[in-house]
Formats: sequence, structure tokens, C-alpha cells
Amino acid sequence: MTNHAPAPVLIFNRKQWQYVLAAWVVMWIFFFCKDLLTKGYLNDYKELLARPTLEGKRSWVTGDRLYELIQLCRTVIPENATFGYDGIKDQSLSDWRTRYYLYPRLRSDDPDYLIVFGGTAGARPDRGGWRPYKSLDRERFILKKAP
Amino acid sequence: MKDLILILASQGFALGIGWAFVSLILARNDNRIGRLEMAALSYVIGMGCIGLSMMSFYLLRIPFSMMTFYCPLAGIALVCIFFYGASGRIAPAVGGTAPKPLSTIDVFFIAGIVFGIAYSFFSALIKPMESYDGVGAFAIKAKIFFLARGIPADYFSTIANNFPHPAYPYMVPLQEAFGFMSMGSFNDLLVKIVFPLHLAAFLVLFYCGIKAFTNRRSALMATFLLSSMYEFNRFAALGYTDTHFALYLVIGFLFWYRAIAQGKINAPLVVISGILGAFSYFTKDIGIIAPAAVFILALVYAFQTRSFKGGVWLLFLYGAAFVLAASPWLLTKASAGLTQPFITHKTFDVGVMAPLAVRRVVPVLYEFQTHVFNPKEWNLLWPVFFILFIINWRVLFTAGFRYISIFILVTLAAYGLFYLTVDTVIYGDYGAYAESLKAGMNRHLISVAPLALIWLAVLFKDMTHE
Repeated sequence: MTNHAPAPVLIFNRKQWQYVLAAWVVMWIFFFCKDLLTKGYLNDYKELLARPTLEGKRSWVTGDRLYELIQLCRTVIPENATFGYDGIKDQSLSDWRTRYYLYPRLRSDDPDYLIVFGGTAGARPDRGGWRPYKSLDRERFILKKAP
Repeated sequence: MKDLILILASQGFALGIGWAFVSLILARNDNRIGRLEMAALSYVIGMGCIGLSMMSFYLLRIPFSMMTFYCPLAGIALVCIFFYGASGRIAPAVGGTAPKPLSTIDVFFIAGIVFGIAYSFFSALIKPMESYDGVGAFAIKAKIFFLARGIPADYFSTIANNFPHPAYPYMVPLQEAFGFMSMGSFNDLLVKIVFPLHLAAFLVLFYCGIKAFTNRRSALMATFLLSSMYEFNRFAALGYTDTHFALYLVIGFLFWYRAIAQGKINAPLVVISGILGAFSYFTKDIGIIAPAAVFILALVYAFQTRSFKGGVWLLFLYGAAFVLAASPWLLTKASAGLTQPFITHKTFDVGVMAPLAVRRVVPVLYEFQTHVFNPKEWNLLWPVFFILFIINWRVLFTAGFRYISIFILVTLAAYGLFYLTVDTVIYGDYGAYAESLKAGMNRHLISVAPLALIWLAVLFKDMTHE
């Protein structure tokens, strides 16, 4: 019985498709090298390789200044306490990374501690009901809710 | 070093568990699978089973520990080995004639695939978990489970609501938690090894699956093209769920197709397909595509073969495997009252959704074309695929193309329906909707790209024949 199924249409012949495959390979290599060189991936990798420890790498991905503050928070804020921010945008990548590293401490709208990262809370004369707790510098410090 | 040894041992444990289960399923299988494919499949099944087991522990209120977790799983594996060994059947490499020597182009393809895998390991393990969803949606849950030595009994009613997507499936976070617990430390650098390992397993299973119904050259080419796609490789290092999801969906289809390709239904391969379908549903909610597509494929099979009994048998095998494997997640969703926010009662309010869906068609198509014509993300795949797919509309539903064409169309339709009908509460604001399209569509294409390559491999199989 004759097979009436139509034959697939390939548009090009074998040689021409080989050129298409070659173009694919060229583009693959091009974009791979382009990212390494123009997007700074090569430098990023060098910097990361220069930080062999886990904490060093975490500091790199988070930002050294923020991660230093997070490390301070981990040592001085009790694990069952809640925290809030001043200077870290809600739902930003810094927000999620901070929550991630500080867990089991939870972020709250009515926190026990306020983490100030370049924010203005510390500059207010009455500090809005907060008192200084721990500090790294004028822009990075932790406030504790006044009793 | 200690953490590295422990995480590798844990992945080896998963492979061993999976080997036992797969051996049991395939014990009376007439279609043998090779050792490399067996290893890849065993790892995937083993890690999936571990994720589902950990979900079961939550339901049974059992904490994770060496005694409660590793020992029972090892015990079950030994029982499987006992039965598998007792059957006297082993799954050696595929018999037949010796394979032809590799040509230069074959070696190039293999080198490209190995490079893609190696780069995936490098880019995953050069830095710890750091991406948006990788940290905020998945790794944080893994950390919670690690510190609590399990999923806390009140997790879904309290802690979960402090972080995004509490109702999102838990396959990836639980696999990460397994990694943390195996290391005994919160090492979110080494735990990322799970992702390139799944990529490697995906590529092996992809190659083996396509080779089963085309030829070595076609399979190598398709696998090379997949591994060389920037977006596909990138997401394997980010800690997202998309690589896992694509693996379960695509390899699940390949096993289903191999199950019916020889004429007689190969029940063990349908069961594996069903298990992988369940894994896809436990990874992303849109994994419901898997059983939906298989339902349609089974109807087509029944019609084509004039065998209603065959279609019913296919559906029963797949459905039973899917439901059994997915039951821990299904029960958890029911008991915890979990509902995902994207599809709600408003989705089915035609008066509300129909005009909204119509207005969304243009932005969806606009966003889609930004990916189709994006050579950096997808190279030449989409222009080549869509042109050939459309030009060959006459062969789409002929033998060889039928099932893969239908699976692709069902997958595209499912994603399209999702984009058009996703709940207005979340995406009532057009700006937020457009942003979510931008963030989501390239990730969804990660599961469509391998399907497109399967279709192309079939199309080119005569041209690539050695």
C-alpha cells in the first residue's frame, strides 16, 4: 500500500544546513566570549576565585558593605527577634538576601530592631522611638526599640 | 572539603536509591536502557523521590534524621534490589551491532556538550545562592527546613507567609534542604551542585531519548544545540526551578513516546513517564501540562491504533503513576489549604477575563518576538523552528511527528492560556503585567526549547543519517 504521507520540507539542502549550523556555532562562541569580556564576567570570576571562603563569596554577591552589616546583625540580634530596615528597599534583591541570611530572625512591620543601611532614621533627633544599639559607621548601624 | 565529600555522597545516595527504584520498574522491561542513561535516570528519580519523601515526612509529622530518613530509604532500596536481583534481569547497554566510530563532527558535538556541562558546574559553584527567586523563593525555604530539621508542623500557617510563594511546589527547596542536611551545614555554595547535576542528567537523557527514535548524529546534534543555548545553560546555575521542570516535562514525554513507539505499549516506560510528570507538578504548578498533554496524546493513540483498550491502558498506567508519585504534594495542598494565586475564580469569569485576554494578546506576542529574535538567548532556534514548523504543517500530524507536534502545541497553548488569563488582582496594573511577562516568558521557553529540538531532530534524521 502506498504511503501517502507528505515528505517534510527542509528548505535548504544538507550543505546549506551545515552553514546554518556553522553560524550557530559562531554565534555561540561570539556571545560567550562577549559576555566574558564586555559584561565583566571574567573580572567577576577572577574576584570570586580570589575569595576562596564561603563568607568571602557571600560578601561579594551581597556587597561587602551590606554583608558586613548583616554579619554584625547575626552576632548581636537574637534569633527570636524581629527586624526592620531603613535604607533597604522593600522587595529588592538586597531585601531578600538580608532576610535570607538573617533567618530565623524575621522581618516585621513592628520590629524589635531597625537595621539602618544608609537610611535617615539615625539622623532624626528623637530617633522615632529607637535608641542606638550597635554601629559599624555613620551609615551602617542598628537601632533597638526604646522600652 | 568535608562539605564537598558529604554533598557528593548525598548525591551518590540519591543515585543509589533511584537505581534501585528504576531497576524494580524496569525489571521485566523488554527495552533495555544503557548504563549511562540508567545512571542519569536513577539520579533524577532518586532526587525526586527524596523530595517527595521529605514532603511525606511533613504529612506524617516525622522529623528528618539519619535514622528516620536515610535508613528507611536505604531499606526500601535494598528491598527493590532484592526483587530486581531475584528477577535475574539486568539492564545492560543496548545490544545489536557495534556503534560506528565517531566522526569529527560527532566529536565536536560531544566536546560542545561536555563544555556546556563543565561551564554550568563552574558558573553554579563559583558563587553561592544569589539570584532573586533563587534566594527569596527557594533557598530560604531550604534553610528553614534545614534549621528545623524538617518542615515544621505550623510552617504553612505561620512562617511560610513571611516569604514569597508559600503555595509554590517544594521539589527544589526540599532537594536543597536534603543537601544542607547531608552536609550538616548551611553551605549555599556547594548545595548548588544539584543544579548542574540535573543539567548533566537532562542532557544525557535527552540524547538517549532522541537516539531511540532517530540516530546518533541527530541526537548528538540536538543535545549539543540544547547545551549551547545561553538561556538554557544560564538557568542551570541560578538556583531556579526551570531546569528541573524542563527535565521532568521533556524527559517524561520522551519516555512516553518510547513507550508507544514500538507498537506494543511498554508499561514500565509509561510508569516512568508518569513519575516524571508528577515530579514536574511538584516543581511548578504549570506541571499540570504533563498529564493534560498525555491525556490528549492517549486519545490520539487510541484513535490512530484503533485501540480504545490501548488508550485506556495508557491513561491508567500514566495516571496511576502520576497520582501515586504526586500524592504527598496533593495531600499537603489539601491539608494545608494551599492555593496558588495565579488562577482564581476570576479566571473563569468570562465577562471579566475575555476582554482582558483580548487586550493581552498584543503584549504577549510582542514579548514573545523579543525572545524569538534574540540570538544571544536562544541562538537561531526559534526562527528556524517556527519557519520549519509552519512550512511543514502537512506533516505535523503524520507518523514520526504526530506526538511531538501535539505535545509542543499543548505546551504552547498552556503557556499562552496562562499569560492571557492570569488573575487580574495581581496583574491588574499593565506595568506589573508587562514586567512579569518579561521575567517569566524566557523561563517558560526553557521547557519549550528542548521540545522544539526533538521535533527538529526528527525532521533532520534522514539528513543526519550516517
